[in-house]
Amino acid sequence: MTKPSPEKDIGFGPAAVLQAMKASVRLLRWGLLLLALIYLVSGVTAVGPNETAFVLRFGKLQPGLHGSGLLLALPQPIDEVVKVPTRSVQEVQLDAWESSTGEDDSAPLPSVAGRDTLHPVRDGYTLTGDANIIRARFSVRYQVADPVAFVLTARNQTGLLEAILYQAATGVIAQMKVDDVLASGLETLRAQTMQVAQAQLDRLGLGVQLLAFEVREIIPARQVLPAFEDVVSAKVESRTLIEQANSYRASELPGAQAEAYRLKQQADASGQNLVAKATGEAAAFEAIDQQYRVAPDLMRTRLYADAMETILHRLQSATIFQSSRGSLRLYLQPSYSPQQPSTSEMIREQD
Amino acid sequence: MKTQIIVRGLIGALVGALLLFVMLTFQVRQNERVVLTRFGRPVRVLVEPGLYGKWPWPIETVNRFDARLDFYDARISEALTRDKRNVIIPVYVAWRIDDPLKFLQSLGSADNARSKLDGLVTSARNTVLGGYDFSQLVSTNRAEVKIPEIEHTITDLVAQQAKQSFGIAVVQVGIKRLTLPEANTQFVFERMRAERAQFAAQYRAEGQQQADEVRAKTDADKVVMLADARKYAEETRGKAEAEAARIYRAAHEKDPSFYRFLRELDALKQITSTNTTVVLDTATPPFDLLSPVPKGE
Repeated sequence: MTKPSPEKDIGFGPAAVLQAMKASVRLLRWGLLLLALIYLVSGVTAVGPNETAFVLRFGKLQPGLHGSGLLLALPQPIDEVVKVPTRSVQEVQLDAWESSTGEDDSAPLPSVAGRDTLHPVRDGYTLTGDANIIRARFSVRYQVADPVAFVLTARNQTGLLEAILYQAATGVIAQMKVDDVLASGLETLRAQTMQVAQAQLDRLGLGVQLLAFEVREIIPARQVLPAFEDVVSAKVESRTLIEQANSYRASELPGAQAEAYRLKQQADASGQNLVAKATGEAAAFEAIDQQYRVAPDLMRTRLYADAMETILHRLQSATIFQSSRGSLRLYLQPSYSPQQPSTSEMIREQD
Repeated sequence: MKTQIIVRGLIGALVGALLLFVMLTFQVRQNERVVLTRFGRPVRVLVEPGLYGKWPWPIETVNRFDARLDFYDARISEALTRDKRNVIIPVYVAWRIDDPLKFLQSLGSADNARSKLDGLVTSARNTVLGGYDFSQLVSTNRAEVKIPEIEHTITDLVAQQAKQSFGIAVVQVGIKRLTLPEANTQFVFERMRAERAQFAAQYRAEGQQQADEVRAKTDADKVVMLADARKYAEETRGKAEAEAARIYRAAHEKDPSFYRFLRELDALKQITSTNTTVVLDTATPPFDLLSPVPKGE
């Protein structure tokens, strides 16, 4: 009676408030029940395909590792499920030996002595065995071999792993020549660093298995890079020079060989020719001689006449004197007499 | 109505038990060490993991320490080697809490521990490096490099002091890099450049030399080859001529006078040409046949 119905309808009256509270308490009760239920099953955990899990009950390690699948554990304050990605391969980039302030060229560092120095902290570098400064970037791949040890041995596992790798690399590089580090000894550097680092990790019981240690980049300091490049080009130049000389040899020797062969062949041939000619002529002489012995006078006359025939036939002129006319005067060409040149000219014209 | 009271009672008891549990117990995790203090006075040190009971706050307080390995990079500073070379050797320190009670009493927190350890590490590093030469840090002779030994010595030195004074076990002091004071790098660069220039010059000279050698050898080989061939040719020709001469002689010896006759005729044939003018006596055969004629032209 005292309360107007519109108020009750809107819900501002004490009865309405009570009713609303009762309803919300009921709702709250159900909600609480649901929450309790959720809490009770909160320990049940799905272990992923790449993970291994172990359980700490009241902080104490429970024996047994759990592979992927559903792990039935008690809720939080009792059990703690620790999941470790043991199957996945983790990769860490080790870039601290590059400039820690980014690119050298872009960093406006108020360096004391200009650009020709390296700061021991800002610029990551180390020394090689022959006290050369080199910079490098590495990467490492590893797997968790022992999840319990991995979680419970070290607080900052990745950081420690990095530190150990830098330590190992420093130790190895400190024994190597810069030329080996930059070229042929890279494989040694890789293998030894990994070996040393793995030994150290095992000693500390970190439960980590290194899979690969890669040298992504290893260069001398930027300040001396041109000098190193010049050595490389000097090597190339030197090799080119030798190659050129070798090809000169390859092109020249066969020619000389051929020439020598030709000379020898020619000598052989002309020698044989000479002997053959001699043999032939000797045989011919002997044959004629045989005939000559049969009739010497006849042969002599015939041969003489044959010769005269040939000779006189060929002659431009022959003057024949009678020896009984007196002494014979011989004029031999070329003569000094004035007519002679014209005669010889005429003869030549006739030819 | 009655069941409601029972339920409420139960819930109340549960909440109460939970409250008591939280107030009166604590856990020591596998990787933790705990020092329980009563009004600030340490009463128990717990190293075994598990569930423990305690008096509620503010009577007893749980001081937890992570006993896992922690590491940090020590502050860098210049050090001097035995042969008076300045070096800067950044090291990292891997350590863990070994004696939580001592740690709590002397340091209290990990940050504090680092700054205290820093002093220890720096002095140990400088001391140890003073006993080694620069060439025992970096050398191309593997046997000479003593980095692991240096690390061990520093570690041992630091570990001893850290354990005694702070309850800290220093597991490893590792050399992360080998560097030089900034000003010195300039000289290193100059030396490196000079060294490289020398290498470059050496490579070029060697290449030139080798190339020259190959060329010279090629030329020499050519000369020798041709000389050999010429020698062979001369010898062959000489032998052939001797052989020919022998053959001729063998034949001609049989009738020297006839040979002379033939040879003279031959020579006569050879030396006369169309330009030759001969003057002959009519008595010369075959012109002796022309003897009645006074002059023949």
